[in-house]
Amino acid sequence: MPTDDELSRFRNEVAQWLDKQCPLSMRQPLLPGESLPAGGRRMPGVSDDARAWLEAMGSRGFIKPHWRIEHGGAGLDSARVDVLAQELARVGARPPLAELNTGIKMLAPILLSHGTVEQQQRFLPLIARGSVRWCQGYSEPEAGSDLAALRTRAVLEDDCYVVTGHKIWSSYAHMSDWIFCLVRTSNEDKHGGISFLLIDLESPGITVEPITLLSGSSVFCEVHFSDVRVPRDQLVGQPGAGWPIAKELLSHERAMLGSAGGGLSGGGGGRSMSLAKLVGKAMEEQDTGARGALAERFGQHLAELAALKATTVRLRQENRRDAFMPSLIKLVSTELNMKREDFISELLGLDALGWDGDVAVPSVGRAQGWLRSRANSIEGGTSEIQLNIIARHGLKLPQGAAQ
Amino acid sequence: MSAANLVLSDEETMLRSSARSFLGAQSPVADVRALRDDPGSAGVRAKVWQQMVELEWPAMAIDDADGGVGAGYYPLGVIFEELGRNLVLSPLLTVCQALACLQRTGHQRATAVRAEMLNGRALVVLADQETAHHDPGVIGTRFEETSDGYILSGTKRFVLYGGQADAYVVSARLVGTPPHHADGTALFLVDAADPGVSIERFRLIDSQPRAHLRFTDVALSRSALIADPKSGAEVLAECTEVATALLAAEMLGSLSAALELTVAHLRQRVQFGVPIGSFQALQHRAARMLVAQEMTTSAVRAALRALDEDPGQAAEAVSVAKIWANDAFQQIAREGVQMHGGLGMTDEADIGLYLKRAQVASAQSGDSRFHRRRIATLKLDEESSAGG
Repeated sequence: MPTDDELSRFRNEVAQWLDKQCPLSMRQPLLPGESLPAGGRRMPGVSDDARAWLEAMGSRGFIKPHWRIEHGGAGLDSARVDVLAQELARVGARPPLAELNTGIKMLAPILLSHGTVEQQQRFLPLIARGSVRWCQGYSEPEAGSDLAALRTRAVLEDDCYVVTGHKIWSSYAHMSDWIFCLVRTSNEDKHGGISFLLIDLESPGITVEPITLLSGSSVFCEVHFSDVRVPRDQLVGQPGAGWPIAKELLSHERAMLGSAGGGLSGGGGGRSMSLAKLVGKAMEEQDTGARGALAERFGQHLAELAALKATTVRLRQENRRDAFMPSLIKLVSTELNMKREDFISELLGLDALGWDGDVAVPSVGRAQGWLRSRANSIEGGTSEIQLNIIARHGLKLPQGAAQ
Repeated sequence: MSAANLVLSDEETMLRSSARSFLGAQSPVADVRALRDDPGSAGVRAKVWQQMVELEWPAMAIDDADGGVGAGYYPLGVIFEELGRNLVLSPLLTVCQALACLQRTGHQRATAVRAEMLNGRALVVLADQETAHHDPGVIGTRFEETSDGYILSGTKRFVLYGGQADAYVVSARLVGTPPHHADGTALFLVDAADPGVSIERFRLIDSQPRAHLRFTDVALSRSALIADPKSGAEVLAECTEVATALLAAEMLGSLSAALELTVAHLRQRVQFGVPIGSFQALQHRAARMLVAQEMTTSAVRAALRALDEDPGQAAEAVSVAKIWANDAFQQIAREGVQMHGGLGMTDEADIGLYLKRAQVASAQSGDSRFHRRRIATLKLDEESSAGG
């Protein structure tokens, strides 16, 4: 534990540093329509001040201050991390990097548990500084819920794996710099032939195409690999040891999606308030019988939201490590978000369903929101897959033939 | 505001395991059948009830200044969960509710009666319900003031342990006050032996003893008044929150046990050469049951914490807990019987006892329809008073 003297010296040091390094515009809250930088080499629409602030925080190791210095952190103890957070809050500094960061939340824990020292020192600092943006290459057109059926091949030739195949649903691949992929290094064993490979998206032979969804343009992409040469030292873990790593990473992803909860957690209060306004308005337009039914529906929604919040609080407090709990939270929060979207759509009637035209801009956004929500129970593992995991790990039910 | 603590402390975990071993030995699920089939039964094992009193369970949430333990409703909820696991028949719920009413009043008689209840010498229960659906707004029982006390008339229905109690806490409205006005509701202590009290004993499908009580011009002394027409409605509302939250905790224990029974059956029962629990159609339904159980656990704990913090502000959390307890218990009990197949329909299998209890407990202290409307109204009122 640092002494009070040491902490107050550190506080002064941080304060002076912030005074010089944090641009005034980065001490203002985000404007409507503005978002935090996602990091990486390509950051369209990010201001010079935001770039400078990201660079300053990153090079000082302050984005992940508790990470070790050789991993791109600042190697701070928890007392100093708290002081840093207090000083950032005091000047009203924006976070330099958006919260949902695939490199930090999903890949970094895997590199720490399975990467070599060289891999950790090569990749972690770039993640910690926000200078490289990562995306995920898991699903394939023929390997969705049955992820282990993946067919993208990686064949060892000299010092390189030669990769050929087709990945789908890679979020933000068109804005990312690197992709972590599950590839097949052997056909002998379905699960035991899978390896975990890190690939630079600028490598020759890679093409990235965004996917158009029901709701319109999206951040999802298809990524095609044609004889892409990947140095063999970019394989994480042993060849054929990729499946347990993949599952470990998926549980980090579910935790991330569950904590985002389709945007539910944290923002829950504000979101339910706007629903309350809509319901209140609809109540005024209804007769007494319809009002009762509407009140019951709204009451049920509030009860589900309240219990979900209480459950996330309880799980954090209980510090439970049960393998099925991220699946449970993911299942409940995504389904609740979808029910909310359905409820709003029903309350607004045809006003919620505009596609294009002059007058319908808010309505178009609403319809896109509703359409997009249909993916909540599919992405990050379908609800059916989550139910499999809950049955197997939560209830210890025996595995069926097809699982 | 920091989030309420929803974990069990070491002390509460110990309380849970000692309650579980006591009830496992003294009050197993099979006792529901035994008490049901015993014509002389009072709906409780006298020895078990005496031990509950000695363990100070009725006193758990009563302030220590009033002769209680002062531990609050959160640990009492842990005990109710354990009672629920074994579907224990006892008057503890209605006694805790009556005690919550008596705790709020400083009257000498109330203090004396409370002491008698806490040492197990008197059984006093709440008599407030008048209709087949829980509706605290309906009080048809009337009282008027006389020169030396009160005259009370009316009917109370579905009173738990009404045929066994020595006395009742009865809600009544002052003759001439309009039905939905806040003032005018008072609470009285009425002896079962008072002239004008008639008792009709019966049981519902869950085997808990109940009674319809008729009060015909019952003459009461001044000391029978335990909450006057200014405060009666508030006292009654608070003790109703207490009973609802404790019932939800009890239901959580019941539905958890029913889930365990069902999952054990899914693992054991072999058809088509494999355990039926390996079928995905059943696995997904069973997984949904576990989801409901986890969500109910959180909702119940949040409600008990809210009660301990401020019973006047606990309505929303209590309703959330009761909605989850109702719906999860009904879902798990119904699915449980279905997954037990033909065995589930026999009196021999325990799962059916849970189904019967689910049906009664869900209607008691408000069904989900009632509580959904209540929280919707609370939220919309809050919204419009915030300037909409």
